[in-house]
Formats: sequence, C-alpha cells, structure tokens
Amino acid sequence: MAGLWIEGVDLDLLAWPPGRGDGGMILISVQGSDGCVGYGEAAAGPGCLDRLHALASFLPGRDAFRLTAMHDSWSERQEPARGRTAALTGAIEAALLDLQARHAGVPLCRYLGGRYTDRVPLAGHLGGGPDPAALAEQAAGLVRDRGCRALTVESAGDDGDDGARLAALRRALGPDIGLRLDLMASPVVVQAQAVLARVDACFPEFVIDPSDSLAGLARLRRLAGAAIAAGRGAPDPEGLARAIGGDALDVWVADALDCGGPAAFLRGVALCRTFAVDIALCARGRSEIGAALALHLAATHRVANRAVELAPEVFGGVLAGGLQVCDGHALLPHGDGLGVTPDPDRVAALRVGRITVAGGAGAGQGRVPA
Amino acid sequence: MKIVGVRLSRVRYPLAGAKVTAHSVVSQHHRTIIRLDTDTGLTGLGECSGHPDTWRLAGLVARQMLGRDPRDFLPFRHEFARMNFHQRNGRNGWIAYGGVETACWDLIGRHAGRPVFDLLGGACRDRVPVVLGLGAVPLSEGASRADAEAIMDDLGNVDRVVAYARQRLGTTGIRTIKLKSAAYRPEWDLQVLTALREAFGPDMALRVDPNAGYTPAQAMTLFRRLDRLGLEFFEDPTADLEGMARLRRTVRTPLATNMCVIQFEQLPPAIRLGAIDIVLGDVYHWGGIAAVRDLIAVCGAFGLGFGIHSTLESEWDIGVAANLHIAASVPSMRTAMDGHFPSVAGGILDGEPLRVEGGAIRVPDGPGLGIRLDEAKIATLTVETAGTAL
Repeated sequence: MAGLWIEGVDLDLLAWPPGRGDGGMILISVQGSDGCVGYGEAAAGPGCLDRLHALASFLPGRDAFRLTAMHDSWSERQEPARGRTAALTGAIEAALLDLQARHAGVPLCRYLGGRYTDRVPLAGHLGGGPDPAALAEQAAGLVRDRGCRALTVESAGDDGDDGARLAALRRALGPDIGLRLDLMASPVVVQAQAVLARVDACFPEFVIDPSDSLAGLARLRRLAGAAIAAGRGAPDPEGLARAIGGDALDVWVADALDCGGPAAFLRGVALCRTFAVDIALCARGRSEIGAALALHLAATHRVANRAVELAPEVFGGVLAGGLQVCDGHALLPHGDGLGVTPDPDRVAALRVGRITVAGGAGAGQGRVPA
Repeated sequence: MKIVGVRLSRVRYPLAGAKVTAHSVVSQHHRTIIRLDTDTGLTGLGECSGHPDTWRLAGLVARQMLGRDPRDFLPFRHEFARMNFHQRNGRNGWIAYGGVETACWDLIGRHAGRPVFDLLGGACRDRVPVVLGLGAVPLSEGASRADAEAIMDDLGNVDRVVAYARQRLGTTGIRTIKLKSAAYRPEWDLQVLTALREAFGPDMALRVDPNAGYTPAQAMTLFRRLDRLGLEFFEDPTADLEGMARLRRTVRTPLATNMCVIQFEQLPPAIRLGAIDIVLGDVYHWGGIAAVRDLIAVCGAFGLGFGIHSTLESEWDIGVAANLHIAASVPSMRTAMDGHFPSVAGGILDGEPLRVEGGAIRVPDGPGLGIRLDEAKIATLTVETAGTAL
C-alpha cells in the first residue's frame, strides 16, 4: 500500500495582515514523502507558535492519512486551553487534508466528495462606525470595487443607532445585497430585542449573536422576524449541537479552522443539514490558504452556499496573484488540493519567525505505525 | 477517473436454515452485486438488497453514474438521489444508492492505494467485534411460520434455542447474542432471554429485536420485565417514535432503532421526543458511507450511541466489508457489529474470507474495501444480470 509519510513541518510566523509589524498568522507547511506540501494556517495568538510547535512535533514519521490517531495523540496531551488547541490542531488537520488531496492528484473539493459549483458568492466586512452616511459610502465602495453580495456590519452599540445605520445601508445598496448585523454577543436581551425591532424593516439577511446566551438567542429567535445566526454562540460542533437543541439559531456562522478544523466543520455540516440550519462560512482575517479552504467547503456543500466572508488580504497576501473574483463571486482555485501555493518571496517578506520540525522521531526510517 | 461500465448481478443468498423474525420466515435472500468499471482499469464493488424494486433502482442509479468521476458522489447525491428518492422511491432508492456509493468509495480507495477506513480518518481498530445473530427459534430450511409458532407454543422448547446458540457460538469467541423475536408470545421471549442469560452468564451481551412487532402497551409489559436481565439494548421493541418515547420513559435498558429513525429528517423529532438511545445505521438505509459518517456526527453531538446495523442481517461480503471499514474508523463505536454471523453459507470472496475469530472480524486493509470477488462462485448463484457501458 502506498504510504504518505510526513517528512517535516515548517511553521512560519507572518506579519498579518501585511504591514503589521508583529506576527498575526502562522503558515503551516507539511511536507509529504511524495514531495507534495500541504498548507494550513492558524491565527497567532499569545503562545500559539509554541503550542503549534509542540503539536507538530508528533507529525514527522506518521502516516498523513491517520488523522484520528493524530487527534488521539494530541488529546492525550491536551492543554488546559482546549478551545484554542482545537483551532491549532484543526489548522494542522487542514494542511494534512490538503496534502492528502494533492497526493491523490485532485482538488480538495473533489477529495471531499465533489463540487456542485466552481464559484462562491463573496461577502465583505464593514468595520463599523456610528455615522450612517459614512457607513453607506464605505459599503457602496465594497460592493462597487469587489462585487460583494453581502456585508457584515458590526453593531454601533451605545454609540449609534443600528436602525438608522442599516436603513442607510439598505437605501445605498438596494434590496439585493445581504446585510448581516453583528451584535457581538450582546449581554442584554431586551436591548437586543429593541435593536432587532428597529432593523426589521431593513430586512437583514440575518443577525449574528444578538445574545451571549443560548436562552437569549432562543428567546430572540421566537420574537424576531429576522433570522438568528450564531457564531460565538456555536464555536464548534458541540456548541452548535447545544444551540440547535436550544432552538437558538437559523444560521451557523462558522470559520472552518476556528471551529476545530475541516473534520469538525463537516460534523457541523451534518448537524446543520439534519436540523435545517444554514451555514455562512467566514474566513475573516484569513490569508488565501484559509480562504481557499472555505471556498472548497462551500463548493462541496450546498448548505454552506451563502456568501463567504473573505478578508481583503486574500487579493494579494501570501499568493503572487491572490484569489480571483468574477461578478461578485470568488472563483474556486484550480489545481490539486487547495489549489493555492504560497509565493516564497511573499512569505519571506512577511516572515517574522520560523520553526522547522523535521526528521525527529522517524521521518524516513522509524515510521510510526497506525 | 471516469466510470465507463456498470455490471450488476442479482444473486441468491442462501442462509443456513430458516430465519424467523416478527414478520417473516426465510431460508434465503437475494442480493444485488454492483461493479463499477473505470477508464483506469479499476472495478469498484458495491452491494445492496436484491429485492426486485431495489434491483431495478440499483441499475438506474448505476447507469446515472456512467461518465462521472466516482469521487463526485456528493453532487450526484444532492442532485439526483435526493430529488428522485425523497419524492418517489423513498427507502428503496436510498438502499440502491447506498450500494452504488459503496462501489464509488471502493474505487476512490483503490485509486488512491488506500483502504476506505483511511479515507474516513484512519482506523482506530483492526478487528471489529460482531454479534451472533439468532432467529427466534431454530428451524430447518423450508419451515413455515406455523412451524415456528408450534415450537413457541411449548415453553419446554426454550432449551432448544439455548442449545442452538451454544452450537452456533462454537469456537467463534463471539461475546454478543442478538435474538430475533417473532413478537408472537411475550412469555416465550422472556423465557428465552432468561435462559440465555443463565446459560452464558453476565459477560455475554444480549440484545433482542422484535422488529417493532409489539404494540407500545404490549412492549411496556414485556420490556419492563426484561429490564432485570441487563440487556445491552432493546432493538425496535415497538413501532414509531411516539411508541418508543413512551416505552423509553418506563424502562432502564437503552432503546435502539433501525426502523423508526432511518433517515436524517427523522432524527430531530426522535431527539426532541427522547425516543431513542442508540441509532443502528448502515450504508443502505442511510444512503451510503458518507451519509453514515454524517449520521455518526449527529449521534455524537446529541449524545446518542451509534451501532452498525445489518440490512435484514443479510449483507454479504461486500456489505460486511463496507461496515467493517466504517466500524474501524469510528472511535466512539462500543457495540458489536450487527449481522447474521456466522451462519452465512459460504462467502463470495476470492482469497481470504471474512472469518469470525476471537469474536471479531479482521478489517481488510488492502486498497478500497480490500476484497476481491470470486466471480465463479457468483456465477453459480446468479439469477439475473444487467449491465451497460459507455
């Protein structure tokens, strides 16, 4: 049987978004015994590089297909910050899945069961700001320049009137652009209820995290006309199951890496399909690697067909050309695996640190049995 | 890789003796053997029920796969299978689709040079424990329902079931007995299970499956009495979610099903009603290996157990191999795999048979499902063939 052994792992700490002095992102490159390289990425929070280093140190010499065994090894050494570790193991798992698909010589979407589309509607993110007119101008620019089909706008909280802001956006953008209002896990349900009432006439696509509790989300879902989305309220498949069990959401806003990696995301897909919950993929803050992963997943699963939120950096981050957009849709990258390969010069320019994990316990010789 | 040919055989599947359930007495089944040929020279194997309806549908689905890459099964599932089966052919359609999709997974694994379990995340075990499948009463081939009922009318015949179980267990090392109930006489079921518990002790896991043959009221009377025997679970003790939910409130033993929850849309009401503890899934009713993977995810998220079911306890070697690959890749699977082991009268594999040793079957670790067909043996059992090519 053809083995696909992990020869080594590079962890590049990159200044991200570009222009930032310190490291904001870790690019993971896993080298396979077939010469292929699989890519993943993780946000570089405090201590993440060291923990990723510890997790990656188990990889050399292992069979890249044995993901369950790797997760078992990791969970035996689970650190206290379980959620954060899940995001890191998920990032490695994404790189291994990319490696597997490249090894098989097929795009990741085909490796996951085939695609039903080769382009995915694009969503953008508005920074916010209390002034409705300024916000509308910013939004119009995003729609004009990038063709976004949906926009996420953060609540102004006590600093502004979300009803007036969404009304301005609706007037400026017309009826076809989806508006997603992010209340960022509001702690006071009655306040959120008042906001929902004010924005109802603007027909938001959905309202994200209008409460910081599942009970609050469920209550607002019963009272509000708008669809209720949970992101922070359903950070992983287990949280998603609790939210579903509590009748707390209509839409799952998911980052396929933060929720625990592609396998965890696919478990979430199974839950959402079973319980008639939509998925809005979000790759905000991700490079082209995380964005490409989101696009492949969206192209494979119709339930995740809503516009995918991508960061502006995916149009010129670690790739030479960036991802391609046509008519408000991000095009599925061509090629094996994720279909994107970081440009060495760009990575070098962004690099602020690097750790290489190679050989060690067994690359090439003492291979770890399943 | 493109599918360029489809070959199907409808084969007779002989059982060792007659099998008695709540709804039937059968001495043989029919199975549909599916072969998908690719332009790369590979052949993928699948299997599903050989009932005339599923046989016809399997041919329909397999022909729809012509010209497609077997790795593109999800769009096919969503575009073709859902529209056609959900709206029209229901369960039979998904059973047929499950057989064809299994052949796709076999092809994907063969093409990649990896066993199917590796495509599912890798194996957690290399051997899978299996059950001893016991009919309600031991009967020879050709016996009728009346013969079965005559035996059950005399509680003095209970020992015959125990002796039969002992003979069938032999040296297999199997540690789980699944008893089919004819749902004919509750006292018979009680006496048989009590006798099995006494004969084989507390370490032998016991299950009983009346195929929803008891009404909820009958089930409450019988299964409350069975509670004290410490069975592993009651499988479909009564019909439908409402009946299962009512029974579940009155018994301690977990309730399992492969009858009232066999499609995804049945999971939400089952969970809300608190109707079940364990879902017994298989690639046929659920519509393929990918669907079973999704089912496992849903079960895990909602604290439901998952076990491998066997369609009519009659998968042949291809279906058993598919179940073995799934079971090997599921860390949370704690129950023995369902099936009619070890009573199948001869296998259809070329090379190493799927043999029960130490209570378990070794998971084939070659590419794809890791098995090859004995086409000469298949030919002797074939009652019908169909095929087409690009």
